[in-house]
Amino acid sequence: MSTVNVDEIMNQIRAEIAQKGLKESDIKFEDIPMVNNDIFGDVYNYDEFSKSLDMARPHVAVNASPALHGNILSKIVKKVLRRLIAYHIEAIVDEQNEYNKYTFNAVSMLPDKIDEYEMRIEALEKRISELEKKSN
Amino acid sequence: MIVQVLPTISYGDAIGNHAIALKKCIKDLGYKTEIYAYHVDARLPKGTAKRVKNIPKFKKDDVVIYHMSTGSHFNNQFGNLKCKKVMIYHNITPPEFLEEYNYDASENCRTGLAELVNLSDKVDYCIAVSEFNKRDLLAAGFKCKIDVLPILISYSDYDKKPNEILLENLKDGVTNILFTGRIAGNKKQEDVIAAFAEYQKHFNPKSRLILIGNDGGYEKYRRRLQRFAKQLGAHDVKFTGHIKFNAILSYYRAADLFLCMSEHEGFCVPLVEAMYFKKPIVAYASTAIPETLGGGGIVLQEKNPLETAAVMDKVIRDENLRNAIIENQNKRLEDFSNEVIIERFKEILKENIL
Repeated sequence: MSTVNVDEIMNQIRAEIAQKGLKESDIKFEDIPMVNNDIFGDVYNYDEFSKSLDMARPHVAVNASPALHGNILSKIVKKVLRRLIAYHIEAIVDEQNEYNKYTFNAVSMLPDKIDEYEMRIEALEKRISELEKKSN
Repeated sequence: MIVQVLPTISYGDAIGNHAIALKKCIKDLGYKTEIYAYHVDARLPKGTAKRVKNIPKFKKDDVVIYHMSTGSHFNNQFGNLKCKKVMIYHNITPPEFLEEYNYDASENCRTGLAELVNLSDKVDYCIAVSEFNKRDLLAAGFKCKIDVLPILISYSDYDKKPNEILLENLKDGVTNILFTGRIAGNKKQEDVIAAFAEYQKHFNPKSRLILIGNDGGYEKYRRRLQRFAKQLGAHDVKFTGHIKFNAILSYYRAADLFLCMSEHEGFCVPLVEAMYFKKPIVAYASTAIPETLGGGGIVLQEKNPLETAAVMDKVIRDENLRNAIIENQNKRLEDFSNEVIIERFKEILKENIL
């Protein structure tokens, strides 16, 4: 293996940074709020939309066999009943899960598109403003 | 019968690919084998894996190889199986990295870590994909024999045709800095962005940062990262989201440097990918990263965005340094060749499992 002396490289770099007087940005990731505080209108709320997606996510997959509750006898009866109708229920649950998965995936794409459109709108508004200034 | 079980087998996922490669290995040795998972990605070729609900009853001489990487229904069931139990440990993300952005995922990891401890006296043999993971197993109380076997990587996939139009667009004279990894708290994309912002500001304004990775479940984190990049004044920071494989190939081919600031990795397949594409790596020394790099790349002991930026600049400009780094990476890559790992897996099977 070739020798790459990382300590030597770091010493050189630190000396260069000091010599050039380079300064690091003061902005830290911890300074960035978790949630965008802008509220977009009375009906549509970006935060609520985002929160709703988060809340919906764990429920996308429906469980055909949730835990059984009750005493031993009732659990046995429920288990037997469940087995008897499993062929019917599991098919429905599978189909529902497919629908849930694709619907949720589709809806999950919306925040990105919204962000993208907002950025484009912002850029276009800026451009319009510049053009208006020029024409005046 | 030797079967592998995973909570989920996804298309293009490192753990899934590893299981598929091991399945072929086991089959070649003449054993009846199958993969079972709770969730089987529909994009996988038919017959790759079956749903866990179809798992057969195991006999005493059967072997179940369980890939553990998260909390799962199967973790406790696995411990109670009456057959030979082998666990391949991929590591579980510490929940504190995730709880800010995805509480359910963090709880799943918390449960997984508790389930890991519960399995410590129930598993017959363990394979860890790194020494780092082996140490975690020992810390969790595992007393059985633990061997280390890296992940099998399908290198032939990387030789497939890239997205030519994208590749052409990326070769526009702009320096491409790349990181590949899920948009998730432990990957610390904010530190990649911070270093890139300093690099773009002080050393090379004609640069772009490409963050390949799905943000599924971590959209809040990704938006926060985007706002951070904007506040820092960094431009051309691209979050690719989930993209086609040929686009990933284009990004790797066009990259000038691979930058990794992750704070938790059980192995880190993207580092090996970057080595395969002969891209110099600058990475922060955490968890399994120095081990996977094994003398390749430049491994930083501290996180200082400005210093990291200066290192990036030095690596990109200094041809001799860059060549030395790539030479070291090429040497390390030999340890991850399929032939080496398959041979070792066959030895492990014969010595400990069969």
